[in-house]
Amino acid sequence: MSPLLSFFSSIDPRPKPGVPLKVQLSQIDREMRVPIVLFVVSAILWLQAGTVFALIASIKLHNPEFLGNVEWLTFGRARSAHLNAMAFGWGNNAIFAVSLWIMARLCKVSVKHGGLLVVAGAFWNVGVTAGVIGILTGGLTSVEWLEMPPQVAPLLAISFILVAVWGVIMFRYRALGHVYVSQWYILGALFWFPWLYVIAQTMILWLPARGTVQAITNWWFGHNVLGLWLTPMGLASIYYFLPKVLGRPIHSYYLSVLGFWSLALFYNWAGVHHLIGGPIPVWLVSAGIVGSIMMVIPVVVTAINHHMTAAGNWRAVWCSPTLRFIVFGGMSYTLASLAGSAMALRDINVITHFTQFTVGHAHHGVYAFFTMTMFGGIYFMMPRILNREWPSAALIRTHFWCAAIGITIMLVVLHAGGWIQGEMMTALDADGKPKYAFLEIVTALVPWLFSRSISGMLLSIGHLAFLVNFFWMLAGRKGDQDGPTLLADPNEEDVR
Amino acid sequence: MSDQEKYVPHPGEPAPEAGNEQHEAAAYGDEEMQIVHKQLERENGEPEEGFTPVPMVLMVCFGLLFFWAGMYFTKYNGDFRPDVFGTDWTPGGNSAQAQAPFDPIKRGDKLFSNNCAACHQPDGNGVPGAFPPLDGSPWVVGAPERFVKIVMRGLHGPVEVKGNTFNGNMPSYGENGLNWDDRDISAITTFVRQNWSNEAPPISEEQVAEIRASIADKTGAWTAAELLALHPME
Repeated sequence: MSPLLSFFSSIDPRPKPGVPLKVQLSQIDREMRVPIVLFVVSAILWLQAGTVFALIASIKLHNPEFLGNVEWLTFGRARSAHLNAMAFGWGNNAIFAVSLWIMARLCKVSVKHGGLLVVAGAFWNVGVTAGVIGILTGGLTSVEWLEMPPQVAPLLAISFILVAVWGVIMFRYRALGHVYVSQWYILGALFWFPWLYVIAQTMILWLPARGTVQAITNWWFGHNVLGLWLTPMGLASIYYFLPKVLGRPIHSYYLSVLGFWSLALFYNWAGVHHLIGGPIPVWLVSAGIVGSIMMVIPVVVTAINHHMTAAGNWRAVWCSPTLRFIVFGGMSYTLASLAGSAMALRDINVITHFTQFTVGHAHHGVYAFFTMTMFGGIYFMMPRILNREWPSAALIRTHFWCAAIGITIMLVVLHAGGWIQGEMMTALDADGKPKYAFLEIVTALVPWLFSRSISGMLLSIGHLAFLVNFFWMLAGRKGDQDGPTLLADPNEEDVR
Repeated sequence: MSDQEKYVPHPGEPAPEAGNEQHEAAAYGDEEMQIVHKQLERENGEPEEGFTPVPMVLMVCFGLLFFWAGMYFTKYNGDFRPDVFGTDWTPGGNSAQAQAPFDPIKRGDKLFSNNCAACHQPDGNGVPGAFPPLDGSPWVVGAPERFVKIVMRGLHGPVEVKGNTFNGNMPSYGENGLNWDDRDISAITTFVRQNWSNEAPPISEEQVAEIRASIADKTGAWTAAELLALHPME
């Protein structure tokens, strides 16, 4: 074989003909080991950093004097650092790891020269680190979801493209045949996110559009990061891991198609509901409300599809660390999305807007749904990538219960407290004047915000358990354990 | 399960010969056997999809949702008009909007509660030590020029009102500020001059236009001394 030919055959991502499926998957797992370990390590470290910022910001809401003299950690900076560390540090790194791995497996392509992926991933993390330091030192912009100083945006955009292009290449050289639903979501989101990010950066920070167009762009971007980036990646993970672990097919291809296209069609409109009552064209607000309500279609369809797949296998769900997190995430997706549709209605929005209710809703989507599915994905993926078992079922159990109970408490107190806050802010006395002084409302919120900090501490314990378990696995020698680390004995028949 | 997946050819490759289907165990060579790690040995095949049809009831519900969406958007599109947030807007009025009669007091009341009341207070008494009163203030009920000029350019620095000195910054509602037109400035000044215990004559749109033209090259806010030099207190 000539050297040129052998070079090309060495980078040909297509699988060799006649190689059995599991041999192919083994090769993929081995080839992706270094980039995925980099992404997961970065993701877990960002998760811890984001948790610390979150606790600081949360405590400041009921104890304003806490760290009151530290210039780097004023509320505005700590909160923005929390958001960006979680969204772009934890969220994107976890997505890169899980979604590229799912994509490679479903496309059955081998991943040659993964070193380039490592370089791109390193640049992404350098960009996020610079951005978060920029926020802490006071260089933040006043644009929600784009707080990082605009100077880091080109670095982030380019390194994102260098990571995302791997997913596109995998899809291009996929094994022919049925394209699975997870592949649609991942491919779509890999294009949607850079589109959102570049347009928002350009229209708000680089070449600012005039007036309220900036606000419209801002919420189009902010809401779509959740809806067209985190959501499709979370759904792709559920669609992959649920049938994978249960060993049964997804209920209906037709429901998957309907869910994907209705999400792609309607979510894009929904962001404007953040500007209800704002000085923007009223038809645009109404279109946003209609888009938000129509999101019921993909949500109901996806919920039915997932439920019918998992139904009757609750024992397996209970035993598998992956499925406990994935199913929790899937159920939260349904609840959070239906609540979000309701919050877009003018009559409800007038109460919930500008309150802790919205904050609770954001955590419902990003934590209870997205983050939980990513935890589940990492629990499934890492034993295969490292060829080791999770060292401790107790730590997984701690992680799950702290996360599940912690986020449930947080959602209850933020929704309840937010609703009370909204009712007090809109209450009028007999003369049509505001009934409560602003300070009274602030005081009424204190117990709710205090409980939120408690729930945040529970989440932190869960994240620590995850960190310890992961690095223990990474550092430990190849385990002698025979089977997977499960949370209960799958052979007990009683609960089924 | 899909462990026994059929071999799927890539484009440009010859199809496998008949009877050459891959069965996992038989297909492993010695080397291949070694590289399949034990986690993979135990896992299920790659996920697949069933083809259960979408329930008809669901499609009917979604149809109803589309119907609602159309109704809602038709009802709340504000006729796609830019003046839908204007004070004169009445829903469903459509082309009749422009003919609605203009009431300067009603308009001024609305403008006052949205723009002025936060500082000067709804009762027009201001906040002692911070914001001067409008009720009974000679700056308001005196010469129209003085009052209109303050509204158009703002006022900064010390000003004496009804025996008290205030030192603040009033923003501009004219060209370098909120850019109100002559009609709105005549409405707000007329409203303030005739509300509470004030009983000064109204200020017309024409008067406002005249004053606007006379201060066209004035930049920045006025000081009280400047204004008193132009229009001494009666």
